[in-house]
Amino acid sequence: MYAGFWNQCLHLLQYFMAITLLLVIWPMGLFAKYGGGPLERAASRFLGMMLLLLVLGYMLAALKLFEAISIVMIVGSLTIWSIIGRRSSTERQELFAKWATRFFDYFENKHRLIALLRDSFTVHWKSTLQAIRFRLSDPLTAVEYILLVAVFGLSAYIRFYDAATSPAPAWPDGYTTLVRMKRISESILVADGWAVPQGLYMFMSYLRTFSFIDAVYVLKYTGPFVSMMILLGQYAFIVRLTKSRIAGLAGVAAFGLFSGCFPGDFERHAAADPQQFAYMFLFPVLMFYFRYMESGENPAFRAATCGIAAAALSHTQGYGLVAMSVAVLCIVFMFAGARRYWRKTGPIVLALLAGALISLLPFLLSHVMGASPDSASAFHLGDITALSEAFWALILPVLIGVAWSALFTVFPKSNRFRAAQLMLGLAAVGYGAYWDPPKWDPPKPIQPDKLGWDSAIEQYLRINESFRPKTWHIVTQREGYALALSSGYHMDVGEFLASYDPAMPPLTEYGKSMPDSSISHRVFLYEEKNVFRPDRRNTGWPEGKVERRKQDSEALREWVKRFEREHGSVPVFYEDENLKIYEIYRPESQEEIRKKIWNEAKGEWR
Amino acid sequence: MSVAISTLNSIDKEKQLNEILDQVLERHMQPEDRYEVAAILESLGWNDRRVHETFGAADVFALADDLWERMKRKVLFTPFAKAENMKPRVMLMALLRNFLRGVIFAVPMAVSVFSMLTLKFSLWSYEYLSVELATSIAIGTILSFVTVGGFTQAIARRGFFYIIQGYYNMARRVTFHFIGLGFAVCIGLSATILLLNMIIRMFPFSMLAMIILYFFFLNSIWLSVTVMYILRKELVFTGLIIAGIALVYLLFIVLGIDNIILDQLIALSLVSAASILLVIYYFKQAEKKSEKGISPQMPKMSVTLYSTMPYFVYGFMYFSFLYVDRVMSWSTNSQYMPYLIWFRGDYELGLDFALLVLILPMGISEVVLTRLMAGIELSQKAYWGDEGERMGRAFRRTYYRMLGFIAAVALSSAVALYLLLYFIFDHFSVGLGSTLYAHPVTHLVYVIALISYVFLSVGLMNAVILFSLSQPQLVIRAIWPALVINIIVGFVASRWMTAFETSTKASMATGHGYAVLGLLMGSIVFMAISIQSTRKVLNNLDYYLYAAS
Repeated sequence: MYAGFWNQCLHLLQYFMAITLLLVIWPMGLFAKYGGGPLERAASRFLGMMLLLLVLGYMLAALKLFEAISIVMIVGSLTIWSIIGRRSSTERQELFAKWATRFFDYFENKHRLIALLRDSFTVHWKSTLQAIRFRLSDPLTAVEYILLVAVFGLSAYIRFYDAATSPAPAWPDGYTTLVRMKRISESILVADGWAVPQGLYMFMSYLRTFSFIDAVYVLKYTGPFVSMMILLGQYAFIVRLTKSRIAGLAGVAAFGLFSGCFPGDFERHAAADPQQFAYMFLFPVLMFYFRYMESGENPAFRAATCGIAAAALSHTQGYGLVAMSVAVLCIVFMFAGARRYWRKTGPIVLALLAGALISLLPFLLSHVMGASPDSASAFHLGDITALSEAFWALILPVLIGVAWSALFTVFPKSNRFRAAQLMLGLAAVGYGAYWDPPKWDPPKPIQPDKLGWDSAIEQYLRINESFRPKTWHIVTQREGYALALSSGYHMDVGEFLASYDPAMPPLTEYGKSMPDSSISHRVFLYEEKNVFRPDRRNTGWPEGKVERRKQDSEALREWVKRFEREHGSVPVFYEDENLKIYEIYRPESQEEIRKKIWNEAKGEWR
Repeated sequence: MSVAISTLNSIDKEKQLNEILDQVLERHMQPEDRYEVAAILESLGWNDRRVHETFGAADVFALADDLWERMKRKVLFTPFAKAENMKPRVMLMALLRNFLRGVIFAVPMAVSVFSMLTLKFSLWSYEYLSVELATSIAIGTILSFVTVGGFTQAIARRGFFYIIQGYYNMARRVTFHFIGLGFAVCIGLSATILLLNMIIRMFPFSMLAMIILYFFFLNSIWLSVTVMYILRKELVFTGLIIAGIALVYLLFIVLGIDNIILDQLIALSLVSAASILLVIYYFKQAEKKSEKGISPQMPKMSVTLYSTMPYFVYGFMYFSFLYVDRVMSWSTNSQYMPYLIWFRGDYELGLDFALLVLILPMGISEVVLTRLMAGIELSQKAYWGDEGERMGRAFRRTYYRMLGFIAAVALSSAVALYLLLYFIFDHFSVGLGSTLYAHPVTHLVYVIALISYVFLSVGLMNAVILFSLSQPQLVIRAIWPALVINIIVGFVASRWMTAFETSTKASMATGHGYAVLGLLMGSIVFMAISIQSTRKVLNNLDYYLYAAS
């Protein structure tokens, strides 16, 4: 069961292990320590790593080498080079001698492995406990942290609920995103339509490669994850801007719990969307440029520029929003003191121009190559209204945080007023948790419109888990292609009905006497008892399309009846009120197995 | 100073001094300096008073000075020893013995191939296995070779070191320590893979169980066969393989237990247990025969590990080098790729048959090395101390001759194997022939691997020369770039050819076969660097002989 508790736990664990590897463990080895607090350090590494992953992804996909082996080899080599290169030759020798001594001492029984691990764990555990105790020693600070955890927890619940309960991809581009993610895994950058910035698809492809979970799970989890990252960035930016955790809390509570009240498409927070992915870089970029303008620190400039480049490689319109926000930040600083800040704005403007060029490059290349845009590609350029809505949806919570901070600066900095702020915060979170006061309903998670029956996707996952990849075909409407791509094979219902003769031995084409050797031995036929109709904002499928799908289902039912008359009943793999899946299986002969193992080919050699 | 004891002018005193010098040299053939001589004198019971009373010297240091000067003169006057010409029959027998010892490792392989061709199965393979099982067995086999490679090298080096000195007890202890470590690594790795696979589902559990079972049993077999080799019981292992195959035959054919995997696992577990028990037995027997006396203390484990580490690293890298092109090929998404790695029989078959080419050069290489080392041993007494350059030049000439010889043997062996198998398959109408000589992937892999193994055999001869001169670090210097090149070229070639075939919509996927180019390039690099290293050693042979002593 997709929504089963343990199933979700396992898949989320695998997903977040891949995130940890890509965005925490590798950056720790690759990038030098940034001289700020833990949040800035993590943000700086995140931006650097994202840029590295995207650039590496483009290079490897262009060279047809995008896969786990090449990624591990390159990142591993870079990490070793970074660890060794950062040290002087004496330091390197000392490091080597230290580890060699430890190694040989171990075999002299000077240490025991279990004791070493236990000691190391105890030291870390104690220092973590001490840090937590120190932070929570002040009751008001403790309440602040509890509130923060509550806000982030509730926001995560609102965003992840759909991902954990419904496998169907979200409207409008779920299947397109799925196909593009899988195409990157096959080192295909441009399959159809325009070449567009591929940041999201690339990132998802990395996650799929290192989490070893089905692409459907990656698709479902990545949207909420990106939204949570935006929230985290927003918090860090507000806190650095106002030097107040409570102001940060106010801002993220507004965005995390009440984002439906802001302009823009609320449902995008729960769907993997390239535009949202580019927005993920917005607040870290603003935070580092802000620091750069204040202090002139080069590492801050470098970190922010990495974010600019990563956004440009992800989505053109998304990059436009990031660039616009940075421009606003520069303007604010110029108003604060043009003479003091104008020199620092020069490099930022250059970085923005370079980002714009990077972002538009795929379109220019496509134009030169004579490709025509498809709907999903054109969406990358987007419209100005959507851009404006997105801008305000992201910036308004920041303004709320800043306003909150400004409001309370007029009061004396006493614990009494801090407590008052927290009470207000608690009330806001409480309101968020039960935001329909008369009914005291639990929080309403985001549930985007879908592109198919949940059971259809769930059964695809069941097939993929039960049978070896690439040993089965699913016969469905067109969307099945996105699901089966790279894990099995897909055939359109119409094509199947037109090709295979139900009166002949199983899976024999019309006009032939022997079964078709090119189709899998296991074939699943999807019969839609009720045709799915998305009807969101009157943009559902045209009636003609629904009618055609109905006719296909009817024809398939007839085909199965004729097949059953000739060969007996067809096993039903799954059935509910909307869907019925038949399974046709033709066993492999021993000779076919033998040929498969040695990949035998008949040829003249004598 | 000799002046200080000039009062001792009688012939007896001179004779006594020479006797003491012999005693000192018996303790240490090449003392570092006069202070070490003084220390040895004291350990022999000489003190200032006794020295003064016997030779009239001021103290022990004065006597040590005198002996040191005599020692230096003595080195210059070491008599020449001319190499004795062996009788042709004796030489032929010695060469044959060394050759057979070199090729004896191929006998179990030959038995397995014969079994596959006649019975359709061997101890760990079966013609009608599903690709899924073949993948599991192949991964288990590769893992076992790579994991255990370092330990087998360390056992061979250290165990042999004690055995040739007659210290069977020490050899047994060090060998079983390495076997224990090998098993610990094997169990640790299996547990890690199992745990990791529970979180990250790389393979289904059924496949993983097979991988781990084969990995474990094959590990024990490789470890015990190494011990049999150092105990010179190589044929026993062949006997065990035959017994194992007979057991599979009994279970599968005679008793009709239809699950061949189960039959093979039973046979494998019995063979590995029997081989470990036999190893224990052989050691016990050898210990009984060896001289009774002082049992020396084992050196510290850290010292043993430190001294065998280069051999361990080489073993790991060598086996990784031999198998990494398979990993590159089997991980190519060219036709059908359900998991990270998927067995490709067409690739394996080409490599398996090409491997036969190594049998002859490896046997010859053993002979060549024995001759070279015997020559080097004799030459130390046949050249003046200041004739190092001349000696090096002579051995360089000998080395180039050997190099040419081994290359010629390997090349002829490759051509002969290609033609011979063609003739056999054609003459006896063996179906395998159409795969080996007509299948585009198998034939490509077969031909390129044959060429690669020619280069590899030359590199391996250099490696054994360098090992014999105690220069393992120079072998590592040659093997690691070869391994890296093998990985990179194999990876890129297989992927790019696959991409090319996809773009041209080729009728048959052969891209994964091009991983063999990695083996070719890696072998060339290994040969080139190892030749360079061997030349470097031979250019300063006197220095390296001193360092190795």
